[in-house]
Amino acid sequence: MSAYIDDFPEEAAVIRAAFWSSFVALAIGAFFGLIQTLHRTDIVRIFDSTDYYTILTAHGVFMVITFTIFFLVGVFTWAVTTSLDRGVESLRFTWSWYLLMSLGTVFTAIPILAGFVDSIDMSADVLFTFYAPLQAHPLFYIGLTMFVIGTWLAGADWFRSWWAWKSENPSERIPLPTFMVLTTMIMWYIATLGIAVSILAFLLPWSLGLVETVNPLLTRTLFWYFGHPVVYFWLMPAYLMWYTLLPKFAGGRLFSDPLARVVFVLFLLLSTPVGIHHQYLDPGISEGFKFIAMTNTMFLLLPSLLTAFTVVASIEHGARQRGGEGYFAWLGALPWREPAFTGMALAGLMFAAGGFSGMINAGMNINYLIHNTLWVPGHFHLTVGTAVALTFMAGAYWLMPQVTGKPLASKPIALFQTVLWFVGMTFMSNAMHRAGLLGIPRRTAEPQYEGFEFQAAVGSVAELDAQVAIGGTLLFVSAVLFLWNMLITSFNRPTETLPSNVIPEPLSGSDDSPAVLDNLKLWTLIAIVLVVLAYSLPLASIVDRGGLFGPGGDAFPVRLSPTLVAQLLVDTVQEGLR
Amino acid sequence: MRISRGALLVLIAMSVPIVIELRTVASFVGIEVPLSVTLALSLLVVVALVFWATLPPKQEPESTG
Amino acid sequence: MNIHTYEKLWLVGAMLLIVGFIATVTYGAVGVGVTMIDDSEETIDPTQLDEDERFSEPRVEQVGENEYDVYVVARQFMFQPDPIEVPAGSDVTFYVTSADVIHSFSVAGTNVNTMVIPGEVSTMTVEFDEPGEYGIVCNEYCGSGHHAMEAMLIVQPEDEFELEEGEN
Repeated sequence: MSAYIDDFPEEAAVIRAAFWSSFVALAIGAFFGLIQTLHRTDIVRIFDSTDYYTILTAHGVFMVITFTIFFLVGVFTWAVTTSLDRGVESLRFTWSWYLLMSLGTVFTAIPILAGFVDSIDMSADVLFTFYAPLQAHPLFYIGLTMFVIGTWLAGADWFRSWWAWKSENPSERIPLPTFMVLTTMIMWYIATLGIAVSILAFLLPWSLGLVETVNPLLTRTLFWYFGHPVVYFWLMPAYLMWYTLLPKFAGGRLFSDPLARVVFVLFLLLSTPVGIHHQYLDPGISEGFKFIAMTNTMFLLLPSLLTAFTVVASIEHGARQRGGEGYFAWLGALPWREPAFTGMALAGLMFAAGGFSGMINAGMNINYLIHNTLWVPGHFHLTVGTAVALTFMAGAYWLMPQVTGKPLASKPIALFQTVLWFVGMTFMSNAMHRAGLLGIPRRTAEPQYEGFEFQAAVGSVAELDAQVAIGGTLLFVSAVLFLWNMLITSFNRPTETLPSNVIPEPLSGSDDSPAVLDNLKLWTLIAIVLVVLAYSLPLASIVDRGGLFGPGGDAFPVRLSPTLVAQLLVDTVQEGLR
Repeated sequence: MRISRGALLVLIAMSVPIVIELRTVASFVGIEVPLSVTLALSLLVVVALVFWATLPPKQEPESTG
Repeated sequence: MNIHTYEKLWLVGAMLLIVGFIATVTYGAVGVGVTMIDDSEETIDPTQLDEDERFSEPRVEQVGENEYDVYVVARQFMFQPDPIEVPAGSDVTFYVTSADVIHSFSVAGTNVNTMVIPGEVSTMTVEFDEPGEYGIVCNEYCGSGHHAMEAMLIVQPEDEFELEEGEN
């Protein structure tokens, strides 16, 4: 019975490093997020609107690539080492993938942040999606590639641990947390193939001037081949914590081991062959392919709906163990004072709301109404911005003491922080969804137009703007409180009285799981077949129509060209004269 | 206290989305709720929740959250 | 494998929900006739639009008694033509392409919304019941002047509509 750091001091150091890389990204991302909410709503405009897109690129990349993925490699390392009860095979290898990911992040960050400095002729204002023919500096693509290779090596590290463990325990089931990590990583290997091909075969050579043109629809489709499963790459570690830690915090244990395995297998199978649902409104892709993506997407709801059941049932079991009674009164018996519990519970609740708005997005024909409107960021701030981010922060309140051996600096502030995130996100996301229904676009510095105004159905656009700004500000305060708590925790005195690092056995254990669930080779094969079925024809059709390198067209490096500066100046003067 | 302070905090937080969306729902049935009324209502909900939570347990509940 | 009764019920409920969603979307596509932007048009070289019969001169064109075609070019950071004037109560088919990067052609407050990808032509046919003025925005980031990219769509009363001089 001991804390994680007592059993695995060296691994704890790697996890701490990964967590801090993640928190630095969160700090930068949150600051840029605040600037964006105030800028868009025209409350305070510190930066020029042309710099808004530099800020937006940085917010997107730092939040959904650096913050989430650095945190999750820490969680996965913790989950594998804890559940196999063995350290990593080679610490040097573990540190090397961490360093490669860090170096990749720095390489990506340099051209993005150089976008603020006009005198440096380097920029990557291409947003998180980097759609060609907008072109970033080659360093941006190189950095991303290094980062992804780092995650591949991390996955190899966990597979090595499992193989080594298996040779010593040939007849045992894969422990559930390790099973979750391995299935998620197989999904990630399949998914990142798309982005690897897109960058290495097309975008990088193109940005270096080795090829003249690219096919914008092809690189875009390859991005979304990766762009949907990456969502599940963020979400699976949150699910892992909901399945392993949340029932424990609630005072009980997981309801069902077999169902948890089924859920992760379903995610492995269905996460990738759905990416075209981000391209419902793309020309050049036939309606039939869009319909197939739609049906696959709808079936992807199943594992999340199953998770909702299992998690709530496990929490209820915990509450009843603590003396909770009645149909609903058991809710009062839950440990609401514990920030790790409350944060994850609120995150799960918001994920339900995010799931519903996601069902609207997935509805092929209703998608016309909300595609690329503010509705979409409203949706994903509930999913990745809360279900994932808030679960990670809540998890950190329990994991940081485990990997530092130091008690949390302030539990009340931590509790307040998680609740504040929930309230801030309620304000911001609600207004974003409603603004989206009016047709207000996402990804724009100034959604205020000269020729017309958006008409609000209820209240006014100004009220929605105020709601977004208030929500964004609360979220920023919440992020600052979180980071402050983590910082002070790191400087705390070590304590001997930490809870022990144990994941309780599920009520219905692994003996109940059919052995076929652990057949990773079989599931990998089926996942690949499904991907081939869903993607071979659309890709062939795109290449057949436009060619591998497209029907022609120039590259558009996103830096301020002299002509553009001149044009913007003329526009401004004209506006002033009017 | 009927419930823990943590639970009260969470309860208040969960009333936020309900109060915000109440305006939209009311407009579906043709009732326009002004912003000031929404603000007053949210204050009232918070006060009612705090009042209910701080009542001694097992007494006749007079107000509901 | 031992599955709890409640969990079985939940599973059945979840499957019904999913099948229900697919059914409604299918009804929207087949019954109501909401067609998707598709691959019906040939690809086009975005640098050669000047030589293209349809896009060298972006315009509104009458092609039938109550049918109009609109050829729109989206480019950094404008739409051509601007404003677009069409009559109410007619079938209007938009053909939209890009001269440079990815844009969108989105009529605010309606479901007229499509991505505009260089090399591809997006088409959609719509009917505007009532006269009115609508804002057109680009809702895909297209460069540092993206927020200035807008145009107007003016739907004229049927009896007042006339194509301007020089247009056929």
